[in-house]
Amino acid sequence: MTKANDAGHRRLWWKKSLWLLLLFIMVFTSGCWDRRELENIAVVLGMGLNHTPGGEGYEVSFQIVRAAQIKSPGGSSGGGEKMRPFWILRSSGPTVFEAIRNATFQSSRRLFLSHSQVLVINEAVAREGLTPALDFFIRAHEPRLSLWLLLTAEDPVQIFDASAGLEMVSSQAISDLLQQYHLTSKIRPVRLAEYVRLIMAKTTANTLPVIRTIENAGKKEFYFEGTGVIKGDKLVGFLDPIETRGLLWVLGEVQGGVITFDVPGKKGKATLEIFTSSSTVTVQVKADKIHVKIEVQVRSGLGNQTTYTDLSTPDQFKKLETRQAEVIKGEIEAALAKAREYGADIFGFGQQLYGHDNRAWQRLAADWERHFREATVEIKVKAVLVELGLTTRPVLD
Amino acid sequence: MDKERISPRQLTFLVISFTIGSWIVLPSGIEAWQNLWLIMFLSLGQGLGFAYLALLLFRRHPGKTLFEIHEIVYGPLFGKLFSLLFLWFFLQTGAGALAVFVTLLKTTVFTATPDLALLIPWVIIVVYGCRRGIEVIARSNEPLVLATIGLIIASVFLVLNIFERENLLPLFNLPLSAVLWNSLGIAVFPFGQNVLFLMLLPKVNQPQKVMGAVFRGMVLAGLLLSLLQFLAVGVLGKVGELFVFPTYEFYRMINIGEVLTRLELIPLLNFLTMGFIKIMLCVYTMAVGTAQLFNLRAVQPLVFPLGILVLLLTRQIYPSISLHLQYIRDAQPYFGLFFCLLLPLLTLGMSFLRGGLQREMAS
Amino acid sequence: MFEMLWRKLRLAHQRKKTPVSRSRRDLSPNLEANLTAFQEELGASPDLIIRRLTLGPRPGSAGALIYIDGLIDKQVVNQDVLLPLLNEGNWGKGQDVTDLLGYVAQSILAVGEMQTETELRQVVQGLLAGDTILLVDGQAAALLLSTKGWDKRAIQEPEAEQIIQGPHEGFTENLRTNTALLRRKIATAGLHFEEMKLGQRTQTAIAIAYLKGVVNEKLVEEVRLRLKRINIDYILDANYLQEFISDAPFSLFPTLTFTERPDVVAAKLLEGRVAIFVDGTPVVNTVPALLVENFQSPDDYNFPYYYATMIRWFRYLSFSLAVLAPALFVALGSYHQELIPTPLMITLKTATEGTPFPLAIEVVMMGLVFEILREAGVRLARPFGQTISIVGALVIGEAAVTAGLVGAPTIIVIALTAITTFVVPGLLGPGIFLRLIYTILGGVLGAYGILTGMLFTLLHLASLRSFGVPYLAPLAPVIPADLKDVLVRAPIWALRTRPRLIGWPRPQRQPFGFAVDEEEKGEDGHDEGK
Repeated sequence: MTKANDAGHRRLWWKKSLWLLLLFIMVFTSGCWDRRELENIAVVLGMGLNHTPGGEGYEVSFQIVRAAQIKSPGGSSGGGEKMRPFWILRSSGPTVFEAIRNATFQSSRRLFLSHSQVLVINEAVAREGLTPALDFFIRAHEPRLSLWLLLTAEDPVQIFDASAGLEMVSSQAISDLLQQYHLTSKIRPVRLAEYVRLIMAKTTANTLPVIRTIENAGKKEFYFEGTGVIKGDKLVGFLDPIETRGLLWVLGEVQGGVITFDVPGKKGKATLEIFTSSSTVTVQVKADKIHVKIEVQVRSGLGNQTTYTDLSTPDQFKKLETRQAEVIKGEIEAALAKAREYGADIFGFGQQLYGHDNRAWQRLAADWERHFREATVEIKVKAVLVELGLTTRPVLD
Repeated sequence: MDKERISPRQLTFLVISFTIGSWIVLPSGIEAWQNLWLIMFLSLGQGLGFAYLALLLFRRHPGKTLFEIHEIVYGPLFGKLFSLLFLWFFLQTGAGALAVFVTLLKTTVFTATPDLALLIPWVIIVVYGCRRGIEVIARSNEPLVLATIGLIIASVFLVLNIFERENLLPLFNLPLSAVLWNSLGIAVFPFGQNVLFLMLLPKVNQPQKVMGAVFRGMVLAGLLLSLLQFLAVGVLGKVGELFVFPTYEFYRMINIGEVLTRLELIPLLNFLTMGFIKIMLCVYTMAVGTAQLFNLRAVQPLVFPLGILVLLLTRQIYPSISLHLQYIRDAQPYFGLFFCLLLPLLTLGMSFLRGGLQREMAS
Repeated sequence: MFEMLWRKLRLAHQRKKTPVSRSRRDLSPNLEANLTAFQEELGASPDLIIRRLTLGPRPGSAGALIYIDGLIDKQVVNQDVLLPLLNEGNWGKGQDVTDLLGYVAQSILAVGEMQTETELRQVVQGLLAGDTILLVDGQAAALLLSTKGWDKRAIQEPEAEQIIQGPHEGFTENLRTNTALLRRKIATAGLHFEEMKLGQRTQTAIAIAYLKGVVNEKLVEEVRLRLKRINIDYILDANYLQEFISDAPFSLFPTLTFTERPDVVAAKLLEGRVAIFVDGTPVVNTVPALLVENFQSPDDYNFPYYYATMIRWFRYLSFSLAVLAPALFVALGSYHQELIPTPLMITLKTATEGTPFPLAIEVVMMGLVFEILREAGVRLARPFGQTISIVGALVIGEAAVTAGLVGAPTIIVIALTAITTFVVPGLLGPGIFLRLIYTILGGVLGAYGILTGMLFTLLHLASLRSFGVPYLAPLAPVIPADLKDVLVRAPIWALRTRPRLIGWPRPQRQPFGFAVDEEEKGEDGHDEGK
């Protein structure tokens, strides 16, 4: 290579590097567009959805955490707004997204939704159809599909305002509570992801837990009460706690909880603690009629008795087991009755058919409500009592 | 550049990366999403068929790249014409992958960032890698592929608590026409795109192992993708059809004890690396091809302008995600078939016709 | 604009290259003339000692001993050189000796090494190297007697490369001591040395060492070639060599190994590498150097293999942390807050509430402060060193957090990074530099920026070669057989093969099994397998 060529190459190298450098500078100095400093974001722990007072559009409420107050708290209630570890913000707009953006009119910091734990939806919104309301939460990137969905008859702000008991912020408390649902199995917690999955199965009806506030010695606290039944995407009715558990029995989601009933033939009650349960549901089609067979198996232990009799004999156990099976069957039947009343297949019979006998499903899906109502359901419960706790017979005979 | 050599194992890894490339983020055959993991085996078979054709061509003309084969088989004029067509194919493949990843990044993380800020580092990496040559790309690829394989296998364990067998049913409820059409879609993208490797096969240091290496790579990639699809369907159920990036959403669902959660950035970055490799290969083959097309001696100076070209044309070819989705669904099977079946078949046929002459030149 | 700058640089470069030509100059038979010549060359240095004496049988001729005080061993000069020369009995009885110097060399002096020289420059070189010169009036030659002796440091363990268990010897500044240390570790005849002198004004002695039969001859040739090409005024340290003979002088990563330990050099030679010694520095280079070598320490082989494997993995983890921790912290805190678990998020928010700077700036700033502290700690005299580190760490860190300038998590991250950086001392330079780059990238483009940076590093490393061997071997290209000493530390009996790309002339280190039959030993009594 001649000397001139060499110099020429070096010149070109310099030029190219210069351009590259300029590009670099351009990228780095014009600012970082998506940077969100921790100080500049408002972490939203819970969201609420309601209609605006006028009826048109949505009002979204936010429970935003006040980080400083969390560490040196003034208590989660009382002492005025300044002391509370969270801040409640309301904002409205024609769609959910716009309502959220409109929050900028009030909030000095940009709302950050990824840490939201719960979404509390007013019943009125649910009655009109949840799909338009929930579209933002599914489509947008910030909210996660792990949001817990809840229904309430009141304004969601009331729920956020309520005292959180041992926790700092009610959203966090609700989330923690829902994760412990198995202690009673009378609540059915539903995440947004599961809701969406169920709703895509055209024949299955959804259920969402219902929450409300109660007064307790002058302070407001929140309280879970039953489940709402969502047919299609509209709220049509409710299940009380027992019926909710009936539903969970069929779904096989009862992994804890207690059942109390009268001891057969004696005065007093026995409370049995449920350890595990499983259920098998078979759906068969015969001549365009649905036959459902539900088999539930339960394992429990004796947790508490109020009668003076010794219940630790195998005989007594058998009696308790039979009684327990009856009770459970009753719970399931209650749930079934309610579901039939609403014509809502909350148990997922249709989905069973979809998976196992798709052609039959294709035929029957259009008129599923009728088929569901007319289905013959056979329920078999097998309860097994395995434990006694630490004592055999009561202290006093 | 001429003296570069890659080993058959490195070729296998490159095939895996290239196949996984952008498909893992934005798959084809979305209509049959629930059964994709099964259909994929059918597509794999088809893809292997395409690959076999291409490899036959390589066998008949050992040590020659696709463009050189074109010139031998069709003569200088038509050969260059065919090569030009393939040049466009490489460009579009690279632009497609780039569009997918840019859209992914913009939708998930960088909502407000202008495209250019994301593309510039991309170009720098791709150009740097391509200028260094295929050996460097292959060597860098090895740990990346191993990481991807590790990730996918780890995913199996991470979703055990949210995986539901029910979501996979029903297994065979699609009409045959849909199955065939979708299997074709997958056969063409990603498997069919491997025809690109015809430009790189001469660089393998043990030519007799090339066929096995390519097949192994495609099968492995197919298994991995199928496994991931299987897991995704098991976790998401029918909902997956809704999503633009089903695998990303799948990873968002991982939640073990509320502790091992929010992990989706790691797979995202991992898939990005696969995308990088794919685009690097596209740009590299474009550079090599252009050099052969115009009888240029040096390949390295071409890389930078070609890289910029891909960058500029990406948004022109794929202006919006909706067009991109529609293209994958409706048009890509035809397009892909043209390049990975029709043209190689034609070339192979011509090569056989010129039979005797070829055998002399090949020896 | 750049062209002008470029032209100036070239001009300056050329001006420097005025050839230093010296005409060959011989000694003259005249003693005084020679002495004057010496004094001209060396100036009127007070350490140039000229001791005149009479040589030969009486009456004898005038002679002179010349040496440089401080470079010679006085004992040797006085006892073994002067004494025999002054002893009249040694000169024989009235013999006519014409070649006095020759006679002296053959029969009188009790010095082990000696040389005869006629060229002035060589004699002066010898003088400067610590030889004593014997001149005699009437002979145009000089006798160079090796009387080297000067103050040197005792053998001690190098401070920067301490190990817990094992030999605690380290190289010193003396080339001969170093080569001896190496010979003690490898006592076979196969250990060959080659010496040369580099640096026009320093005339530093450089020695190449390798194991014949194990090493790739082409590698030795290449090393020789690259060293011979060095044309510079001075070589003061091994690093000077590195910058000259390295494959990629601009790369962040070193393609030569630096070590001050003889056991390390011995191990590397046994794998088929070449070692380069530089007189005047205890640092020895070995080539070829691979990235994974920085993660290996002699400690690994002195402890059980499971412990060593665990420690090795800690090293990999530490290095990753050292380079990535601040960057990831910045990226997560500025861009990817959704990835931080909610309780941690709230804690972080509390901790950073009220800090005036963006997270990226905070981290870079505190990182800088730490580097300054570290450098100051090295330079300060011992009594101050302790105070400053306490002041630095506790006061500045603590005060900054309390004042609200910096968040506490930032300090924690920086402290963690600081400690982990020192776990892999060989990559200290690249580690710190990369850490800074990644932090900036993380601050600008989040995790995507870090990924781009890491990919760039990966591509760069993959394209690097050290004397022909790919830098990332055996990780990329994957050489499964070599991974037994990279991913884990296989038990010694399992380390049967040498690294494939380096030790291929003699791939097998030891035969299968444990016992060695007598027949397998070679003629020189050593195992053939070695």
